[in-house]
Amino acid sequence: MSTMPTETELLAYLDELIEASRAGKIPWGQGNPTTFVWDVPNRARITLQQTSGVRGGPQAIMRPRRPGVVLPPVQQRPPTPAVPFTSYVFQVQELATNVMRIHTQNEDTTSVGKKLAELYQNITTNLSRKNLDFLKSLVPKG
Amino acid sequence: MSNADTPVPGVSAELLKLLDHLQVALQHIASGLDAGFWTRGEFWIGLLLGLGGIVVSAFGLRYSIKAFREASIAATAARAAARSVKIQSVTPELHEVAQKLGAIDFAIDFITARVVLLEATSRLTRYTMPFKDDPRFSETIAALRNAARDAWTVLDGVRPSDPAKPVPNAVFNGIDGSFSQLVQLISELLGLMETETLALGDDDVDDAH
Repeated sequence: MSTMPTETELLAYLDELIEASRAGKIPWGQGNPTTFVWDVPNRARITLQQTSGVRGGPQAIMRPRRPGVVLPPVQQRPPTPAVPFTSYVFQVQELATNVMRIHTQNEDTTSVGKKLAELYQNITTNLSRKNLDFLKSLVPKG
Repeated sequence: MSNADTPVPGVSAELLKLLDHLQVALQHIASGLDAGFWTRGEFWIGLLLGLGGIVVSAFGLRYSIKAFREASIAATAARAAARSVKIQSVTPELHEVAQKLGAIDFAIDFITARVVLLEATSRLTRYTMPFKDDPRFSETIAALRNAARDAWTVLDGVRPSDPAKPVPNAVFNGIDGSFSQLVQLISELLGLMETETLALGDDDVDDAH
């Protein structure tokens, strides 16, 4: 059963994680195009996933079917525009028991979400650099 | 006194008689022209017949217009009934699609999610096609199709790098928002269709007037 640390504790932990990732101390891998995975052998699997969604969008607003018909104000309002949003899912799974110790999903507008976005960006940059280095190593040296 | 009673030298009596007849005829014509045409019985008979014809024509025109309107109303009502039948045949299918999209499991894998989404988008395209240009549904259907496209993009984002080592819950976390959006829009479309079915006839028939 997952239990959630307080926001302050989580923010402090994420700061440490960002620092360690920036220093290259954490061997993040890519589980899929939007998910990064850090396997701590025999102990835990930590994942950070970027997800997206849409809030709002068309709603069943009645429209006058004949000219001159006046609808009540509630039915006259324009449809709600669809607003896309990005959120981050952070999970810590204990491998020995397969229990999800931490599972938190935050939109990038919240304080934890901003921190997770920073971590996500950090990992993306590091992995891109590593991939580029690997690609460069394939080029025959003259 | 006639011309024939007074002998004129060098003019025969027959000619004078003829002139007399001509004079009488001209006098008749002149007296007819002096009297108003309305004093003649033929005029009134003609007038009455003409007016009767106009009245009969007006009645005929009125009933022709009425028949045309009735036919238009019947045609509109028939079209509305046909659309209602189509809606009633589509709504259970849309319900089923929504249920399948909403019933995905927390541990769903990528392949299963792909199958579910492929089936859902295919069926949605087929069932919404007859209504896509209907102004009462077009906006929701367009949003539904956009949401389906977005769901495919999201699904691509959770395609496992190594299928042998899937990330726990990653597929569910990724697609949950998109699938929920699809379910919401399908529900909205169902609501609109049910409203249309309930309102069958009234406005459609009114529209024809």
